[in-house]
Amino acid sequence: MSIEQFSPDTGKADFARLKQAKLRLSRRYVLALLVPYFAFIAAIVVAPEALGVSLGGGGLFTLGLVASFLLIIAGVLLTGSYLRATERSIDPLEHEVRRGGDR
Amino acid sequence: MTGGLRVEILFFFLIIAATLAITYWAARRTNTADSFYAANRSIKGWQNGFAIAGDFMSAALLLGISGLFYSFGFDAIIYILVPPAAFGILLFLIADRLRNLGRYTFTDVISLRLGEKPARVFAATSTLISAIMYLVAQMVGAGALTQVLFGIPYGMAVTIVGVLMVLYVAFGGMLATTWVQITKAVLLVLGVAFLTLATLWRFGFDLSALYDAAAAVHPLGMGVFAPGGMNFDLIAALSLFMALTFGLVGSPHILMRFFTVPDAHHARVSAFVASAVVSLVLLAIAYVIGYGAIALVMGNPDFINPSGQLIGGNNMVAIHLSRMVGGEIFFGIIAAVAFATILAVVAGLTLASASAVSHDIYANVVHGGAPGERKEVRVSRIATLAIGAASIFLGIAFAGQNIAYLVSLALSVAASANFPVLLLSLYWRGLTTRGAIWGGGVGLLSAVAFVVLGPAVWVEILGNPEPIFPYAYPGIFSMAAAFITIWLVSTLDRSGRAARDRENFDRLEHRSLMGQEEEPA
Repeated sequence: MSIEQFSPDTGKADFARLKQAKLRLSRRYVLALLVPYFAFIAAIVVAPEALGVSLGGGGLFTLGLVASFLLIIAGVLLTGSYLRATERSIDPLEHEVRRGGDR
Repeated sequence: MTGGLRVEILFFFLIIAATLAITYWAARRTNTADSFYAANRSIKGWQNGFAIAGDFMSAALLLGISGLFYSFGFDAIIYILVPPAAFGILLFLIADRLRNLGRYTFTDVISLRLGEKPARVFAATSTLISAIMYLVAQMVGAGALTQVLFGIPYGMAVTIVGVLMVLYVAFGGMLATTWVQITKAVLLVLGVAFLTLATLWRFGFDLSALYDAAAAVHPLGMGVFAPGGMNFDLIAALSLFMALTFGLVGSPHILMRFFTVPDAHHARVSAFVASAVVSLVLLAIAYVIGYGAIALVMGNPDFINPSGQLIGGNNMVAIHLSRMVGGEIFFGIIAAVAFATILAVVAGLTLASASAVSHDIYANVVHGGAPGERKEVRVSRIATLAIGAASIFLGIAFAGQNIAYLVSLALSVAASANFPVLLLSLYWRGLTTRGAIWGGGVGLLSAVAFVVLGPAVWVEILGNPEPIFPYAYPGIFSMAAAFITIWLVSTLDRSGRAARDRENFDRLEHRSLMGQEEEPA
């Protein structure tokens, strides 16, 4: 079926709530992921000496090495956390919209 | 050598036999368009996550990243940051909406609300350009690597890889391609895990001892753990990161995978699993294998050729390390895993290219969406054969050439043409057909022009002393050009088509959140 023949009731309050909740969640996670990543890459260029500061191991474990490790782990954890958040808050809203449509 | 039969050759044949068995199994289940393009949407989220991870982890990428750590140390970390960023964006913004909206290709999604023919012609063109550039780069790398690993002549190696990829795709479609990817991803994870443990074992599982040994032999000394090895400027670093990250997000062969799962939930699980698998593999490569290779391989006379260079070049460092820490049998396994990696990635790229020809152009542009399933699948198989033949020819023609610019071109086109149009199709009501075509076209052409005028082609290939455009990856400029053009042209567009495009946004948004089962038949 062409999308032009499809006429959903997009004005319904529960759909509007779903739409807003999904957008808000996505926006938060995108910012939480990309801001530190871009900041770290900028720091590699503009503050290399700060990332080269030793945190132990006789100068071997630098701030940059530790921070990049934590950033990568945090990136994976964020994707896992988003998955849980959609299961907890978005999927129930979606079911509500469906139930509303069935009534 | 063991008993006259080289271990790597034995594993080479084992990989070929296993993947052909998968193809035979899949071929018996591949007879409709749904099965050919989308594996009947029967792939589970975690399986698809491994397959996406397999699509992303090409041999060139894995060997290249260990080679970059070996040469430059810390600065190669930028490459490791790409997968969590890219899979995060895919998960947060695209994966589930894409699954809810499309059938087989990302072109299905953008043509839903925009003028179908122009949208499909544009997206199929950018798909073909990015996928084929990437495919040729992979073929050249495949030929060189297979030649080094197994001692097979370059031309024969490219032909073997090309023939196998045509067999997987033409007979087994998406089902075979997916299971070849999953097999390869599992082998790769096991191989990297063993290599990591074996390297750490050499240093009594003491990471400081490993790093001490690396710092002692690397020309950068302690500088190998701090920024500065690659001498980036800010624009070059950001542009590289953006081209790789958004190029991955806009890659047609990656996007196509989200249509193979049953629903939006499984699409989200796929992105999470892919992010975890790729990130963990690359972390092991960066923090243990890369520095381990410096400590154990650098300066080791067993791996140096008469001209004082590492045998096979710096990209072979992980392979040399595997021989050193695991002996001939482990070297054979790692060589076979690298070969499986090549096969799986080229199969995915071939399927994406063939789908652009058969589904987007032949079925929907030429026949208005109704050529008949059997005919469409037959055209897909013919397209696969043609793309396979062309890539074997181009792989042989480009033998021995520096093909780094092909990878830069493929990712820059995906980041600058596919990604902006797809993102704005999903999120911006104001997008019009004209805006998408003009903006996507500007993104595509500027990406190509900047790569040609940049150091990878203008200096390395054409032999000019200085590049006209200074950056190897033009993502930051070509993406900006695409987004600005899309916004400008769409905003000024007062055509009747533009009004329909804007009206369609609410429908598309509803379907993207609720899926298609909401609609009346």
